[in-house]
Amino acid sequence: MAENNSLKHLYALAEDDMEFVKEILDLMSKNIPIDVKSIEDALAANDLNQAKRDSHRMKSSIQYGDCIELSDLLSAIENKKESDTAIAQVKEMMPELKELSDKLMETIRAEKKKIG
Amino acid sequence: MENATFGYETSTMNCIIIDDNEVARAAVKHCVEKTPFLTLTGVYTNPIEALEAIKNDKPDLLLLDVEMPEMSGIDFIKTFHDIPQVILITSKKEYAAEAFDFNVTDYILKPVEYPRFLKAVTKAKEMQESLKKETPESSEIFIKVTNKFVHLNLKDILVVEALADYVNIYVDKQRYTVLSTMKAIEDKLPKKDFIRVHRSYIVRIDKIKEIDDQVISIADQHIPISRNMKESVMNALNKL
Repeated sequence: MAENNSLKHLYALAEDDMEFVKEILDLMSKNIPIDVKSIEDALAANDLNQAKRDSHRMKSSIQYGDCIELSDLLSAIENKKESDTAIAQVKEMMPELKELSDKLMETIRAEKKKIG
Repeated sequence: MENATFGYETSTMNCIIIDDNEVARAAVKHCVEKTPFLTLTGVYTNPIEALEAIKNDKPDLLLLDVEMPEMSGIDFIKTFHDIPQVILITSKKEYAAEAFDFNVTDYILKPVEYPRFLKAVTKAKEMQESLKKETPESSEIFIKVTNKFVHLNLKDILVVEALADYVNIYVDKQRYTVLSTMKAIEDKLPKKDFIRVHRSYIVRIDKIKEIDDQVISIADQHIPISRNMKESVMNALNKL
């Protein structure tokens, strides 16, 4: 299993195609903040179902980031059952989700700088 | 759009990608472009958008995300009677069992890795080639019953029924029991004339007398329609 934020899956898929690596890194850096914001907005509107859909979409956005913890957290939100406390529980997960997303974004920025 | 034909003109498979996520679409597109026998004819963000292209362009293969907001990939498959081959691409293992009920060719987990993708599309290619060889424009079939081969006209077959390792083929008042699987029989029957209505039943469309909720009347038989297949059965009929 790849280490956290190693981008190993991305490089394995790209083989030597650095244009593809850049394309995916660009898409990830564009989409991750949008996805986080969408989850926050859904929670602010107490819309658990929308937060679950946004979490699912974000899982696809980060799939080549090898960020297992973030992926697990998004799965936990996605699979959250409707209950009186579900929204509050998901809201409590948000600081960790934002921290992990920020770390992944740092990795992406560093990688983009490295490959030019 | 860039296509990956590499001169394999006669044996390429036309495929389309349907996924609501931009990263996922780019990754699958990259895989398609690396594969000499695939030609990408369209990329869609949702199944509704793709419907027209499937009807008009008749792609050989759908690379289909399972969970999309407008309609799930599995619900999308259910709407078709004669669907192209499908490879489902998803982050959830849980859909696998349900997916194979709908005869999908393969099932790939995200993140997509090229060796696994290649294995899946190679399977699709092999199926396409074997169907080209086997699918008869012929109107007849020989079935092995005990120690002899019996000739049947496809137009006379009413119902095929699964029976553990055997299938029953009903022709008029006669029943033939043959050692075969439903899948093998289904592949031998023209899709325009026959439809799977239940895990255990295939019926000839032009012999259907009546459809009443979950039951099809055909000759003097009453065949159940599975809830999952009701939509594709109804779509296959020429309704007024």
